[in-house]
Amino acid sequence: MEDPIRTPSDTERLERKLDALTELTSELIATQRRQADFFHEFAPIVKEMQRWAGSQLDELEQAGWFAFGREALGILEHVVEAYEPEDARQLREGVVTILDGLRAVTQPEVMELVSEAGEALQHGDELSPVTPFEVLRAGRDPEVQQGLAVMMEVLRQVGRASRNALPDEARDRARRRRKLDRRTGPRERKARTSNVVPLQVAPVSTATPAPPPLVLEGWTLDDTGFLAEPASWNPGFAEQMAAVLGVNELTDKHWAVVEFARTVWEETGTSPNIRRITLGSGVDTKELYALWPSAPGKTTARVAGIPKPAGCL
Amino acid sequence: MQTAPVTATHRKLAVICSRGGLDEVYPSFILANGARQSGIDACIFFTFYGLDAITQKKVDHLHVNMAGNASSPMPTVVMGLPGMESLAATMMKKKMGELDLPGAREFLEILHDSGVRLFACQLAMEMFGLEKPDLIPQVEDVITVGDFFDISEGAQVLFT
Repeated sequence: MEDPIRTPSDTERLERKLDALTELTSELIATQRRQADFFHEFAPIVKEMQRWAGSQLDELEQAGWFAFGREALGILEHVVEAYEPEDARQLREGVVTILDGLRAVTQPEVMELVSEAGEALQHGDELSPVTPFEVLRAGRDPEVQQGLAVMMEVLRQVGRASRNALPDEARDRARRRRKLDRRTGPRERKARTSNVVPLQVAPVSTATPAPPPLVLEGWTLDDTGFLAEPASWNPGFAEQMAAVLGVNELTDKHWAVVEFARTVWEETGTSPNIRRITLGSGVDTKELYALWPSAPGKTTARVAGIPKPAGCL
Repeated sequence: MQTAPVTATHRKLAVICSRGGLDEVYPSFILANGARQSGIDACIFFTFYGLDAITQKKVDHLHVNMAGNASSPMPTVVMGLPGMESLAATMMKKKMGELDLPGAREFLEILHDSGVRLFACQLAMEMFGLEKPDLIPQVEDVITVGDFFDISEGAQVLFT
């Protein structure tokens, strides 16, 4: 087996490499020397710069720049903590838009508009309040009309922007939801009202209304069953009439209502309606309806031996 | 053939209140109240603008619209001006006060105490974005038109 290194071609190659290396080394040494020279020459300049920078920094420190910088870094830190990298990427894209907006806002005509609007606001207290008629009149003013057109355009843009601001996913979900609701109706409410009880007979009083008695033993009644001579009334009549109407025992409240009705009749010559009774006798509407089987106004008048109450209340 | 006395038969009244003007809800109230006073069962079904009468925020501010009203003493042109509607409402409320008529809220309390059942229309509630807590507490339930016909079975139905 032959040793590959010992061939003449290899020796030649080795020599060439050695030459190249020697050349490289001498170049490196030259560079090194140049650098040393450079540093030697440059050192005084650097020292001078350091001195200058030191004094400058000192001045900055005194002016509070570093305190400010530290705080600013704190802000940055907060921002970094609060935002995700994705947000930052979006912000980077948004910066262009923001700058565009700023440029649009700082156009001279816009600045003029803002300053004029500001002036109007500053003198707002000197303006007198506008009546609806003046609003109508102002509507004819071309300047007001133009202003309204501008405001409407701004509103339109805001509306468009806010619609776009809604994330796509949420918008799709809302649309699907609306579509579904249109087809099926909101489901949870349907279930809630399905068990409605039908109207119960006589929800306030449990007694069944009796037909009006047209005859009462020992008393003269008129065609509709009311006492013909109110002046002839006495408590005995009240008990008798109440029993016929389905109330066998008259409580204190019954008597309070009956006596109040009689007092009103004696004083005014007219029978009190339900509202009058509830306002004057201390028995409220609910209790009054519970006192008699039905039609508390009429029943009170019948038991009190006074004419049927007139009026709609 | 013998006819039974009027009060012996069981009468029922179902009022549908579909408008929200002061002059448009009072007839419903007075009719239902009058029915109870005469021993007749009554319920009121509030739908569309009639819901204003049982909505907490609106019941105390019901208005009267005189524009386009042929019975209005003033021409429509005048009544259509801003502020006229609340002026008419104020005048009507004053007149009602003189007659000792209760205000809408108080009237509804009286109706409830008298045993008039108050219902709200579910569809109209959804249209106006209302929920049961937005209504006055006297309202018994929010129902559909089908429920209304179940409840008003055998009743005389009045649409106002």
